Amino acid sequence: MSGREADQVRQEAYRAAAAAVDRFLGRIDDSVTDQVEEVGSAAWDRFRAEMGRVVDLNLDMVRNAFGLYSSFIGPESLTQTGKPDVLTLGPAVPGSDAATVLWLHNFDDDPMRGLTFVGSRLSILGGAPIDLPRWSFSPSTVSVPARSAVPVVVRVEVPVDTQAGLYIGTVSVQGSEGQVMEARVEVVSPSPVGHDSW
Amino acid sequence: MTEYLEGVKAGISEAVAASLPEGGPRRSLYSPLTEFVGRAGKAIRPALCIAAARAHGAGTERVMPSAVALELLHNAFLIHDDVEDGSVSRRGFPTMHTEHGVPIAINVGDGLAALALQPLTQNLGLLGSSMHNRVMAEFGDLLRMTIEGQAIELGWRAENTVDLTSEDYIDMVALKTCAYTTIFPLRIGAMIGSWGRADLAAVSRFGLYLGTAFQITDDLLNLTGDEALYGKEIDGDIAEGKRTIMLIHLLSAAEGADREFLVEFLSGDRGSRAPDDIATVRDMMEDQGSVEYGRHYAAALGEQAATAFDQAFGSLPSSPDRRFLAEAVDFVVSREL
Repeated sequence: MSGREADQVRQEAYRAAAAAVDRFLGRIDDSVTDQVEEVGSAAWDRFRAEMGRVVDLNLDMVRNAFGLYSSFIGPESLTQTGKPDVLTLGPAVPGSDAATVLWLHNFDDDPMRGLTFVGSRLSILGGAPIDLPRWSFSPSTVSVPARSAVPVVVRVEVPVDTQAGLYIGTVSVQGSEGQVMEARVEVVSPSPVGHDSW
Repeated sequence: MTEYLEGVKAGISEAVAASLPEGGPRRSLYSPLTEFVGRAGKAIRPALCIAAARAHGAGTERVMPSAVALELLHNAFLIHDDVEDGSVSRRGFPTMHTEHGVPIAINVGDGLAALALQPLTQNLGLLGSSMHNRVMAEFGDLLRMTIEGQAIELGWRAENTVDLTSEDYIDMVALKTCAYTTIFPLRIGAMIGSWGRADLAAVSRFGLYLGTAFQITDDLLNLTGDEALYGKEIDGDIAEGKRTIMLIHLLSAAEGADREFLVEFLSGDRGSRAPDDIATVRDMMEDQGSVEYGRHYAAALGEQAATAFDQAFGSLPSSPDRRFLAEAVDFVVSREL
């Protein structure tokens, strides 16, 4: 086969496969995906209304324009249903650190640079708050390339005199635009030393 | 690449074995089923699914149920495919129906398809109801489109269709092979890994180019490969009258008595095709440049796959998973088994 003939075969392959892609995509049934996205959108609106009582956020800006999206390793994984962005740390005993990994996803075509993080005080219903918790974020400043994801290790120190319970606060991602997530820190009592542990 | 595949194979083998029932009936169902699944496959489908998810930052555990389901479905398809094609060897051993008879083979295939659904129920807890539904919808499309593709090819053989074009072939392979081998494994992995944010059209494009290159390479190996490595009988596709791109090229290039011989050869069933006639068709493919045509065609699709990879996964951070996906293109085009 001459070089010219080989080139003709390649051109034929390019054309056939390109047309096949369009025909293949046309056969995929998107009805379930469309339905799910509608449900997810409604759930997101409900969540936004509820969150409005807690913090003043422009979540649409975050979700649709900024493209920053968080997910967490662990049972509180974010889903497409519009489930709240909840960062769950712990369980941890007083005097130790509660930690988790926060994944920052950038679904935009432009990179996000210079993101920093701030953690708030931690409150608990009917108990004493952790007023000045010591948060740490590693790395402390993050850039997320276009259409990629970067992990950030989030830690908070639980003071030795902290009572057990679920503490609620926020973690803010700060950049040209920002996102605030609810942070839950579960504090548990140290295991009592009993006969079983001898 | 090979190391990555071996790692996935080990994990998938363990997970698949754990998903198989321990009870009975053993002799007519679970023993042959377990033996078949235990034969060394390449684990390409689960590997693509896992890699696409992990390249987006997901952990393996998030995608493992879907990867196991893909592997079980693949095994189910193989058993039924071998019955439909009358194939005699698979992964270096006799095919299921050759060893156990057609009725048991069909039932074992059905059993594997049913078992494939079970791991998917774990996705509800792992991924939430919305993503679970989306993954189930992907599996629904995968099954439907694979069966449609197989129906098209079986129809060509049953009706002795001889006026096919390469476009017809690519459309058929996109459904029959690419859907469950590359496109949906990649889509499902990327969807789970990115929580639904991946560009699935770009992922599908990569999967189609990769899968068609894979299928043509597989068909070339059936003509030119080492049977001990390849695991299937050489020239088996010609004996089956399978409409490969090489046969389609030959049908368009042959004239006069040669074309009449070909049409007559293809009009019979597998049992009526004499070894000498099979060898004659094989020689005609060489003489008419059909084998070389297939090689150039596969290479062109491989080049397109490399470009499509950049659009689908190129912007993700560097990782062993992303590297595996990039290297998959060379692997499928240059493989020997």
